[in-house]
Amino acid sequence: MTTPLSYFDLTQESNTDDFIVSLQNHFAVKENPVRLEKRTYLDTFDWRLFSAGLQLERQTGDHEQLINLQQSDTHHNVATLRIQQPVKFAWDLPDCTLKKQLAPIIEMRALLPVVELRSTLHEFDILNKDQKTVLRVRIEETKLKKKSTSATALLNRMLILQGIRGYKKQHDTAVTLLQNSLQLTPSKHDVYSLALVKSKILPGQYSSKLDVQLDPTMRADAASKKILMHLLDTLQTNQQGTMEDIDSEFLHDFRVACRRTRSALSQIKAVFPPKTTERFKREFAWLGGVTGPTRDLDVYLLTFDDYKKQVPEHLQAALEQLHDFLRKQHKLEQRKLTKALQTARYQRLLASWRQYLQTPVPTRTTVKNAARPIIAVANERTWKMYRRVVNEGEAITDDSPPTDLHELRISCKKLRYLMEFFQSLYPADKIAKLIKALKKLQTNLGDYNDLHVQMESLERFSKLMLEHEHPPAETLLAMGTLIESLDQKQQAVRREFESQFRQFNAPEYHSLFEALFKPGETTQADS
Amino acid sequence: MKVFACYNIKGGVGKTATTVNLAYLASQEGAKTLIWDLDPQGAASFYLRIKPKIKGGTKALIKQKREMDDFIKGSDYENLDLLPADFSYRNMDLVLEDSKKPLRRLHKLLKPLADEYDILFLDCPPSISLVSENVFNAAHALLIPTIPTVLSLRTLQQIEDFFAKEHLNLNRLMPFFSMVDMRKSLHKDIVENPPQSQVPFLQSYVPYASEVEQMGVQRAAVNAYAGKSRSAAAYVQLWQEIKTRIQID
Repeated sequence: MTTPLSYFDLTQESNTDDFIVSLQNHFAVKENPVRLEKRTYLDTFDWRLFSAGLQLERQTGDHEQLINLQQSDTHHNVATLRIQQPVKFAWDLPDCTLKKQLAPIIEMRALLPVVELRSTLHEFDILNKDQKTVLRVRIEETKLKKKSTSATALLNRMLILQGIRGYKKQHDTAVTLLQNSLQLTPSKHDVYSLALVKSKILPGQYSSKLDVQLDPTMRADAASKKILMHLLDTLQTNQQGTMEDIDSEFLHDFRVACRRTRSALSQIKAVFPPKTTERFKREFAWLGGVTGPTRDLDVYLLTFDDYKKQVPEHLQAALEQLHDFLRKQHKLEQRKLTKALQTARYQRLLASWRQYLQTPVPTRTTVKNAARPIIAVANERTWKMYRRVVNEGEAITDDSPPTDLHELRISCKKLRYLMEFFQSLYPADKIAKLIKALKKLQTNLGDYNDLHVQMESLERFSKLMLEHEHPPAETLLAMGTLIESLDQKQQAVRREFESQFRQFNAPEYHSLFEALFKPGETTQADS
Repeated sequence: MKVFACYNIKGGVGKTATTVNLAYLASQEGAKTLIWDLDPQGAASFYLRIKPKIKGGTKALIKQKREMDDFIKGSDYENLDLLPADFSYRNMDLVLEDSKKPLRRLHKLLKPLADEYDILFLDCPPSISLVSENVFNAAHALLIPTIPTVLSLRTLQQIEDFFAKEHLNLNRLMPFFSMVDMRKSLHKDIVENPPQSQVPFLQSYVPYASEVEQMGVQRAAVNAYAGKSRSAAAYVQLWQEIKTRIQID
């Protein structure tokens, strides 16, 4: 916990030799040979480590790499690992502190290089009379490697006093000596922050959250275009990562943007000419279709460990064959998906869609809702969808068929998207509360549906495997056991539905929905 | 946090060498590792070049007069820290007796360390005492270095008997052969045909070798200065086997 650490900026004039000499008057100083180090800072595409206040640095040597996880503000080391094989995902790591810290934060996301640095390090070990290291002094000159060239630019020179736990006195003595001999001031920036600024990278730029600022008096067609433009940007931001299959979240975010686009086109009714709406609805439905199979397989692969736990131990090894099958299928589908995103149809869709969204709205329009203020359309649509969710939910009994729950799930999804599109029009705390309540209900409905789809797929896979792979009997047996376990889970989820819906359908939420959205009530709930 | 105790009633069987070398291997694998040098002789502290001194002595530590954090020292290795020995540990039994729940006192002291460390090694003093009983209650595994001689096997039997009598879990005992000299026919005999008892010996053993004795001169872990030696390989193998037995990776 209490490891003293101090950073100082060096200028061209600072003569560090004087400081080393003054240290030698107090301690034995062991000078290490100067070495060059390749340092790469890593984060996920959506900046999960940065958002969690962490920095992940990889130092690459000849045979191995040293991975350091630090707190951004204090630079205190959270975990260190020396490793030979490359690490892209949390699951590439052996079980260790680093994995324990990283896995819950980055989950399924890949670690990508953000900046690459080259440091010249001159290190000194400060020893006590037992020849024990009690302090490390590091003088480092760091250069920023420019992207896709070997050119570098000087970032800074720094002197670092890296204390050892339990030897604070020696660290503090060194700080005093340093201030006496060099008059240095503690550094305010670390190399990573400096490198980000110099590379003009703004951390936290990307987030999959929908955040569109709307003005209530804005014309509905213009507001819709603003929402849809945001979604198109998200889709295109994730395109490269989807095609290269860097990690499964690129495709996930890509598909969410696509689904939200379709939902906006059909749910924000009568704001664009019907022909335009129909055409783009059709094209985005196609895009949703071609990206679906890969996503399904991503989900099976991501939950595979969980599947394994659901079958008896002696059958777990037999599931490996299913794993191989899924990986093969994934490779196949991913190839098809990449091809689809290279087609003229896809290119045309994106280009014409962007062009349409960029075109200013016409001053005169005959489209019914186009020129109305967005708040009026938002209220109307959200209220209507909320009423539908309540009616459908109330009609469900213990005997209702699965299709009824399916219908309700779709309605909930539409309601959720509407609320997210328009959230900037309503008091933040109130809409957040309603979204949270809805989300809980959606989890129940989503789990129910996912389990259903998974069971169906497993049956389909077993038939496919039988046709092409000649799987051993144990594999099929394990898959059968898995289906049974999923079935039991689904029944449990179904039993939970009634209480989940009751919680959502509480008078407290109902009056809040009414206050926020019901047309003819106040348009501004908090005024 | 997994707690390993390196223990034997007999002295001079390679306990401290085992503790330091295995803890070093664990720390190199990225586990935040702590050694508690419980032996007043302070050999583990000496190997790591850390003064065997606890401010306020045993009492301050056991009675929690200060934070555990204040006593811990960083070693020269990444991820490896030490809670040093102190000469007053020789009276630890008395201090323990004087505290609440004397048999589980160490167990309680260790709790706050679990947030920070993945693995804790206890380097125990020889003998059966209140300290060792505390260790039996706190450790997930007891690593028992055993020299393949008749007298050593006898002390191992004493530990097993004690565990049986106190209804402690015998599965936590992990004896292994230490300081093995295969040129001696007795050593060879015993290692190749270990006694058939309730508690099986680990397959890996540590040979008698000069590079282990060198630890006192080098004041470092064997794997740090003689990584390619036979002993270094033996410790790697031993550590792998222990991890498999206790199911940590």
